[in-house]
Amino acid sequence: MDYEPYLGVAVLLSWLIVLVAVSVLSTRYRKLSVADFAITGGTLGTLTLLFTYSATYHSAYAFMGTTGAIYVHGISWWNNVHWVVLPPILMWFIGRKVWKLSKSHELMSYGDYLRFTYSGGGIYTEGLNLVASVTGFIYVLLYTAIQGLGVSYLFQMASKGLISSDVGLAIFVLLNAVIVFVGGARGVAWTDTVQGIFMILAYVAASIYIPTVALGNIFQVYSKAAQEIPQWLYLPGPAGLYTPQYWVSQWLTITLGMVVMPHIWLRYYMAKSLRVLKWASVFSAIYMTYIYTFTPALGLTAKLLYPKYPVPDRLVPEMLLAYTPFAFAAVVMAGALAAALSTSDSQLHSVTNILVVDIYKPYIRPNADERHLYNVARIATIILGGIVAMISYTRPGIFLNILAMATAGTAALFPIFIVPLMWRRVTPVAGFLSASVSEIIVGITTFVIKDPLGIASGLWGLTTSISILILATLITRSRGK
Amino acid sequence: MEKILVVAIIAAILLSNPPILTYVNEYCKTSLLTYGVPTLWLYLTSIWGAVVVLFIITAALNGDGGEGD
Repeated sequence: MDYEPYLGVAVLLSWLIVLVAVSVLSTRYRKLSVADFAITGGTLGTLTLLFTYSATYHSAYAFMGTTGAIYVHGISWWNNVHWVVLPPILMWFIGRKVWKLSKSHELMSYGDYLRFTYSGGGIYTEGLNLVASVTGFIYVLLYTAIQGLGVSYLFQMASKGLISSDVGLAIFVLLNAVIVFVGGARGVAWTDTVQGIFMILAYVAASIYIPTVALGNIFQVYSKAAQEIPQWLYLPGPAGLYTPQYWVSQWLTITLGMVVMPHIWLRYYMAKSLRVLKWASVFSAIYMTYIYTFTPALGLTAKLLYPKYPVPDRLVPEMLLAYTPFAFAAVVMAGALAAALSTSDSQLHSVTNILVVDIYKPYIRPNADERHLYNVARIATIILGGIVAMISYTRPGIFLNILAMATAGTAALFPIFIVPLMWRRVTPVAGFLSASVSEIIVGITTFVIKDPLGIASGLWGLTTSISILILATLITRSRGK
Repeated sequence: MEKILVVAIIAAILLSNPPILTYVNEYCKTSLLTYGVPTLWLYLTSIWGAVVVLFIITAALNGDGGEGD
């Protein structure tokens, strides 16, 4: 009798039970308030903030997409080092200013921050809030759906077909909704902590084990790569993608875009103290860099073993099943699901937050009490979970096109969020114009004239955004805050 | 100390981007491996690893109040 499918199901089931249990346990400390649901009431310690930040930051891409990227582009992929070191440092430099504002003015959302820093602008302040909140909402909602879509096949592989991809996707989306519904931000942070520990152990073990078993050891992998595929070891990579323009625009766009992504931004509010924020930033920089230590060996191993593999993002599970014991493979695949889930539950939570705190509360029920908003947030979680499932199952092309704008679109919002921290004269009119026009520019350079002059759309949006913000402020002049 | 970290970050950005990176890349084409690992990977990791170490030192020496030394 082949026991492996049942072993795979047992591993996945154990993982699901642990997550639900942790989420339920987190409710012992919750308060039935919207602040607790949105940002844990700002009570996280170093360990939970470190893991909820790092695990949220590292998605399914970290676990499987990176190997696929090295397979296609070689060591050029390590442009990635910019956006694993700089965001945690910016979490300290920028996050502490945002944290202080959140404590002194009870900010608990994306829009709260904009309404405060661009206050007094009437229709322009509200317009800016709407543009930023709605674009953030759309981008992140689609990202959430794509996370599940990208890893649902792992259920099928880990269970050797006992669980289909479609059932796996349903389990994935349901688990997201359960974690957010039960525990809000606290449930997400606690489960992220468990998942963050699990995913780094599983990934590092796999990225050492697979190259060692398949090709001897990591140094032999590099030596073989230098002999057989040398163009994988320098720029612009075998596909010729990493030109100087692409190199710069890619890291700049992703780094700045990630800093102001709604699900990342909320984590600046969650720290209990500045000390917590500082050390969570430091340990996040270590975690986010260390996790990739052996990734180049893993990606090059994949290229050497499977020279013409059609779907590079699926090479990690492929190699696990081919070169490691099944029990190990199933555990690591559960780790890959943890990487995806720790990002998508934070994303589902952040879009719920935008919907309730930035749209429902100010525009639909301004006088709603805490209990009402808390219940609305939980109901919104279920509805948005359903929408995520619908997007995932229908896989409509238009959504994938909009998703292509996501990082570029949020990078264009970076100046609008950060400049007011350093320059108080910035005006609401300038903020509104900057956000609106730069998002249009990102759309044009993504779909109409793609990446003009070889420069990624995000950099065009970013340049437009900062230029308009400064020029329009100088013209309109702030009345002061 | 924070000022030193900021200077180090600026230096790291300059070192890990064109035009300096273009010259380093030319060297990487002829010396694919250094100490048994990809030269380009080692170069970028060393630069940003140093920034992370400096970040740790800065955090350890800095008070918890936020800005400044």
